[in-house]
Amino acid sequence: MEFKYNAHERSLYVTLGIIIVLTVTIIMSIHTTFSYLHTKNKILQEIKQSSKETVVSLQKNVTNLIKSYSINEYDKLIFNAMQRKDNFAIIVEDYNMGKILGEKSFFSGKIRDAQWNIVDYDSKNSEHGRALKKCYYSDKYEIISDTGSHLGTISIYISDNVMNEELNKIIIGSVINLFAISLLLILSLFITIRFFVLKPLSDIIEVIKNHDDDGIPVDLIPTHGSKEIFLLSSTMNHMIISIKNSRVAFKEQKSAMHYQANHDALTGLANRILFNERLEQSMMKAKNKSSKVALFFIDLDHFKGINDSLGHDVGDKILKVVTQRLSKIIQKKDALARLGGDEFAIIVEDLRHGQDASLLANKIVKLLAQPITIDEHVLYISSSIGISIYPNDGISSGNLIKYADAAMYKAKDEGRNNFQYYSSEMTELAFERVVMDTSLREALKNEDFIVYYQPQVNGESGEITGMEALVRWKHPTMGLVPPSKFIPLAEETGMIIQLDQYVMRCGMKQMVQWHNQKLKHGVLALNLAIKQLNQKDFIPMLKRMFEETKCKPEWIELEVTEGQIMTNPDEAIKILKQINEMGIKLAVDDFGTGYSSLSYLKRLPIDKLKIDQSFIRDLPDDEEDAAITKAVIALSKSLNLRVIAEGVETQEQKEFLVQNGCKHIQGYLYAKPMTASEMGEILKNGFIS
Amino acid sequence: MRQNEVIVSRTLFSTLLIILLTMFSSCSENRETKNTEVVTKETPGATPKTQTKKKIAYIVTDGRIPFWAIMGRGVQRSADSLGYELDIYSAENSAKKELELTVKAIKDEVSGIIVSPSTSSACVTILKLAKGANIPVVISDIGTDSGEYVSYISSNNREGAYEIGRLLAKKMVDLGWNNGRVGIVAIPQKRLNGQARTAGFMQAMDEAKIKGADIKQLVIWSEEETYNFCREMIESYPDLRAIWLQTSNGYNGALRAIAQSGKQDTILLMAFDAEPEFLDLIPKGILAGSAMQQPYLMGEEALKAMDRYLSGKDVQKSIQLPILSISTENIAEKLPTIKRDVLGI
Repeated sequence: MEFKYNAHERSLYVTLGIIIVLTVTIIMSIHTTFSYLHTKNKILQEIKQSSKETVVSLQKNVTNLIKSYSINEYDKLIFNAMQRKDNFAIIVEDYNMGKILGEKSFFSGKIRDAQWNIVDYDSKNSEHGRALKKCYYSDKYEIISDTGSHLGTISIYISDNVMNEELNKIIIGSVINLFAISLLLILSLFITIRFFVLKPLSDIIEVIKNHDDDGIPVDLIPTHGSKEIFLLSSTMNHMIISIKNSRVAFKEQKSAMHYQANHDALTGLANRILFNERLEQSMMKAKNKSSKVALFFIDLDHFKGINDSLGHDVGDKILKVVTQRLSKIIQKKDALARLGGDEFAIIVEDLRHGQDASLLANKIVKLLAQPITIDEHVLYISSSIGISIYPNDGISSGNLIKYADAAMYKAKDEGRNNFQYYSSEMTELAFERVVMDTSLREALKNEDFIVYYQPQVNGESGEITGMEALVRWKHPTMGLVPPSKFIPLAEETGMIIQLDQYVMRCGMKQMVQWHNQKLKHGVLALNLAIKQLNQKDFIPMLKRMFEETKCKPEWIELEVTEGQIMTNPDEAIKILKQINEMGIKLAVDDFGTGYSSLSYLKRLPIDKLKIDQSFIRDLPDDEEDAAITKAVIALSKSLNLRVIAEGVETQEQKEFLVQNGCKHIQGYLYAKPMTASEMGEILKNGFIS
Repeated sequence: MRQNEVIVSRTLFSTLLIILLTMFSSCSENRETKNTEVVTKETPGATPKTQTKKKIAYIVTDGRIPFWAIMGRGVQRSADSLGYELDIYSAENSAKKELELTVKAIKDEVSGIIVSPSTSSACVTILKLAKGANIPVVISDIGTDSGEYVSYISSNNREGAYEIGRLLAKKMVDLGWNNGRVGIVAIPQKRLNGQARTAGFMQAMDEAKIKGADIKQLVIWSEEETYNFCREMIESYPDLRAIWLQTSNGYNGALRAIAQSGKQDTILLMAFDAEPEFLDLIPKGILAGSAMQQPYLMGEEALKAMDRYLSGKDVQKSIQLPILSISTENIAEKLPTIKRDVLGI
């Protein structure tokens, strides 16, 4: 960038010059004026002193000369005294001579004419009289003889002509001196400034002019010259070096920022931005080569649960392990990126057919299904992969990503731990999912949910021992929406917490209401998502809820799924103990579907195991399910836990269970989930057949 | 200072003057008027003799002194001959009186003033007063320091001293004493006439290659002072062959010193101006000679100058009258002139 100076801006040299000339001139003028006034006063004093001395001297001599009538003699003395040029006239008034002349006085003396010559004074000459009146200063002394008689007077007249001449000379001399000294001073100052200030500054400017494109001087500034110039040069050099170093640092920082902007800080993988670029490049190449590109959208199953339960540190370590595994499995030309959270993406190039991506997808699913050991935790993580193909599914990067994302959800819906290719139907599902998400939020806000109750019955006596609260969504247009349609979505989005709390509050209020109606309501089982447990204020919230609803803890049983407990058993045990201490019963839901460790199970403060309905469905014919069911019942007995079976629909199933020791039954055999009022009617009987 | 010279011989000279005054009523026409070339220009209608005599005042510093008295007679002589009424005022050596007389003359409305002032300084005031009254002034001897005047009548001191020096040198050469020295007893050398006299005399000595001895200046003008000076020179310079006194005053002291040294025959004595005794001493050779001013002639010339002025004629500003060089050899020849123009007898 070139800086152009304004033509009106003075150079430092000119500015300093003006200051110097003005300063020197003012100082010298003041000095000269003071000198002039001082000299004038001095001259005046000298003149007066001199005139006094002249007259006093004359006075002595003239006295005798008057006495001896030596007029010419005192005229001579006066003439000599008049040699001082400032004496304009000296006049003797001679009484003795006056007497001779028959007059009062005789005046004699000398006066100066127009040419400043000394001439005889003539008292009758009017010119002389006028000239005397114009005199600047005069003095008159009596002439007294030794005997005390008055012999006359002597007067001296001083003209300011000589003084003015003298002063004029002084003025001229002072002005010449003023000019000479001023000139000398100015020249000296100019030369000094030129050599000691401006020259070094010019050198600095010359060096600064030679700069690079960023305006930074190429060379360092010379550091010779005065202390200030040296300091200036040194400081500027320091700045130049600092700027150059900063620039290097900035470039490095910029590079680092660019890297950061395009890479994931945790894994070092390309982020979404770089991924998009790479995808564009891959698409371009594929277009040129008429090949295909597969886009893998990988989402880790249950990662959020792990992250929430074990903490982000563990979650981060899992992500790193996943990154390592994926990095090893893909080819060098393929691009791996982390798009955020537990979402990864892979671009696979040079495919001849879209289905060629299956091989790699299978490998990934298997690879990520292998357990991961983090800080002594053995964690089981699976993955859901959605695949979209360029150009088959889309020709824009945005669409490809969107489609792969939709395919991924399809894989989730298909039970996770698998991969799915995109198909056009998925777009609708994805859309439906988005609509559902929005509606769910609205429903929470509008409390469009209804709590249904499904009785839990003693299979032997038909006595109602309790019930499970189950939520139903009463959609304004879609009608009742089944839990399978919105519970997974609520879990993913975190809305499950609010939903659970809503159900709990409604259930507790209802229990209190039934209690007030003197109905034998038994225990209300409420589903508790593990995310609830991870909320720091869960226990206080629970206590508040009991206080608000006036529900008693012993009326409530919280159900936690086996899988959720096992993601972080230690933490779960800790919280569940606190819940148990409140007097609330605890049940393990869906028991048998997870990987429960018996050691953990033993430590859990639980009261009940709930056999998952998947084992009940094919009883009593499926041997394997029958064996598992029996094992679970046996386990509960050995651990001194109650056991209940859910999803019991047939009499055979019930009989099998009761016969094998599980007398608590829940399922359609007795009743479907029902409204509170319906449930209230059943409770009035207390039994169900 | 002229006054001092005259006062010394006043008593001796005045007696002789009174006797001679009656004997000579006219003066000889045979007078030397060298260096007094006067421009005469007739002015139509201007005649010296008119129906009413013009009054001239002659103010003299001290008429009791013979030199001035002789000069006064010279003035009177010319006034008479030219038909002027002359008032002679003697200030009697008083500055105050000199001024009073000047004022009186002015009040008398005289036609002109001839002044022999007490001093050249006092003359300035006289000239100033006369100028104020528009009265012309002729100065006879002494001179003035400044001021306006018609003419100044004086003696040619340098020429007179030179002539007397030549006369002495010739005598010394004739006697074969030209290897001897000449001492001078001088009047004060700050005076112009003193300087002129010394210069003229020394020139003559130089020309004759006669060596000089001391020059001693008179201070108190007494005979004793002259005696002492002469005695010192005689003792100091064995080869002293002549002493020149620049005045007639105290000549007896010089004669006494020479006589006491016993060198009457080997030391010549020369003088300046004249005393009546000189008419006896010079012929006898006791005094080798003297340069004599002519006061009577000066007085005559003063009034003549005034007359020419009043007649509208040009007047020479400075008129220098010759000094007579009188020696043993020419005193007889010059005696009439000496008596009339020098001694006024």
